[in-house]
Amino acid sequence: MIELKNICKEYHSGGTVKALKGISLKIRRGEFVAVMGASGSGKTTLLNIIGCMDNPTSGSYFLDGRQVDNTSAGQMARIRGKKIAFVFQHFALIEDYTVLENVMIPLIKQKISAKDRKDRVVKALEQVGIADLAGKKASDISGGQKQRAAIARAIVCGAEIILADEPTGALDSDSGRQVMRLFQQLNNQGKTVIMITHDANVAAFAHRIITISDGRIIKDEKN
Amino acid sequence: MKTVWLAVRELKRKKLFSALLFAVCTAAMYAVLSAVTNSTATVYQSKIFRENIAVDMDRVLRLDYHSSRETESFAGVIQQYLRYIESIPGVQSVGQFDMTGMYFLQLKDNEKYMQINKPLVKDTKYENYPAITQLLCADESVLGLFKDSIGGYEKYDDDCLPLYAGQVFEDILPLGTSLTDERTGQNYKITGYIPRNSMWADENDLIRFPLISLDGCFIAPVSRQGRQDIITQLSMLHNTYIFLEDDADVKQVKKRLSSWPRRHGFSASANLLSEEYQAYTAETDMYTKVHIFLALFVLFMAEVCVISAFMTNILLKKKRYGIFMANGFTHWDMAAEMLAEIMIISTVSGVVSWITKLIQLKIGDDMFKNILLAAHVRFTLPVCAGAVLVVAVVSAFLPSVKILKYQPARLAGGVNCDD
Repeated sequence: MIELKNICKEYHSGGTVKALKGISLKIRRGEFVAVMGASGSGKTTLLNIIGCMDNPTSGSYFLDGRQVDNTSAGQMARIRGKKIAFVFQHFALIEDYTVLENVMIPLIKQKISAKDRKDRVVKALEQVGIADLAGKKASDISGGQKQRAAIARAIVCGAEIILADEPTGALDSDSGRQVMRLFQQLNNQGKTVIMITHDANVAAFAHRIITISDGRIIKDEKN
Repeated sequence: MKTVWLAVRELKRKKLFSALLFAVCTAAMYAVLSAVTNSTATVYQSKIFRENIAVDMDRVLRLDYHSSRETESFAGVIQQYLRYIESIPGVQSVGQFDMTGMYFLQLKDNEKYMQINKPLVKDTKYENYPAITQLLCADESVLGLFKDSIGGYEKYDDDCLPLYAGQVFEDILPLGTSLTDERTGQNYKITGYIPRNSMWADENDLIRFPLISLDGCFIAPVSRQGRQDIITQLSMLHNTYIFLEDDADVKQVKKRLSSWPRRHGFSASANLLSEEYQAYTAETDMYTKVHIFLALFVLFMAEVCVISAFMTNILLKKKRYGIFMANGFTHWDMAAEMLAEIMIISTVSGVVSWITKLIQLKIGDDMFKNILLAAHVRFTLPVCAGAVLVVAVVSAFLPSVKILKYQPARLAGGVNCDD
């Protein structure tokens, strides 16, 4: 499903920073992968490239057999809208939107009726156990509830790949465990989950752990 | 449609921001529309005048009379002066007119007349006097100044003057009806009707003031009493027109016109209508330029204000853009949403400004009300639409460029995005 061939990424600000130095990997449909590594190792850059949020400087990226590296910003946005969903460490919710409005964002561009849209949002909120918070503003709910809302937003449009960047990083251990159980459930339903973490306890939920250091994969093992 | 929906939601969410921008845009639009309405009104005034004037403006002189002696004997001097003008070589004819409000004995208490006349005098200085008659006393030679007026008078004697009524009075004042001036006792007989939509000059200024409709008026020759009355004579002296032969030496005629009064203790001069028209257009050109410059300056300041506000706004909304882009929205979607926000603000302010100006003109009692209203509806509306478009496109340009440069990977994730 996901195939990266010798992916490199360089940033030019002041000097040249090589964030990724020839990453090659394959991730099959339905896998639950944890990407580990120290700060600055290139984990988020890798996630951004897999999530079509950024283009590699060199190398090839195939998604479902189709080469998607160096495509236009518009095409990348379309791919994101259809196949990929993100869950961020700091939730990435719009604070003065309600939970329902936040979860609805991926559906705004889709040609479906307002009723269908609302039904799908409510269903996604039920799935993550916060349907009763639909009318609350994002600023008025707890961190754990925010991350559940972010997960509901990730699943509402039926994305096949969920990319999570330190999803438990801003949560207490209880909330973190609940969120990880949600990811497990989603993975059991067939979703591909790729998660960045530097917490071994969190990585233990994944089936495969990839370790990155200084822009290179140094370990890729089954869990 | 989704873009507009998102833009409306954003504007509703940021109420104070939207209200302040709306206030700035409305003030700017109002200044622009006022300038455009005033400027186009003068252009429109010129257009109406040119469309209605029926004489060659290079062949008609208007007498400019400077000093007066309000004695009964001076009326005789004026009559002598008019006869002198007629005798100047190159002068074809001389004529005067005077528009006055008076009462006919037979119409003063006539309910049917008042019923017809009341709406005709509405919004004029005679609004509270429905029994009044607006009488244009004019010499036969000036009747051809404007298109569509009556051609001339039938033969008459001074005891009973021919009277032409507005066609609206045809049913209650059939041909042959006799009427008597309440004040002077002068008799008149209805001998014809003024064609509908006939126009005439305002007695204060032929060119600068709006033409008036003759639909509710009457036309008659100047009476004998009028010729002897100093007040009427002085009033008519300001509306004296001298019609020249094709081969007339304009300079010589002008010289003679001013030298005779000097010998008789008063002063007067004359200008061709074309010269007066030229002076008017020069005045209005300057007026228009100053107003348009001020309006453009206000518009420019408003643009700067809107651009600054939106530049700050898109910086504050970086995270929101990141969230939307992570969920399938493109840079262009975000730029379009911002354009829609500006478009909504500028459109609403344009509409509000236009309607406010319209109401202000409608309830006001400006002498140029009709001209201003016509200019506002015919010319200012398209300019208003254009201004809205310019404000939106110019204001959206820089913020859009900024949005298009955003890297989605660096927006949504927060603190660890650059890892």
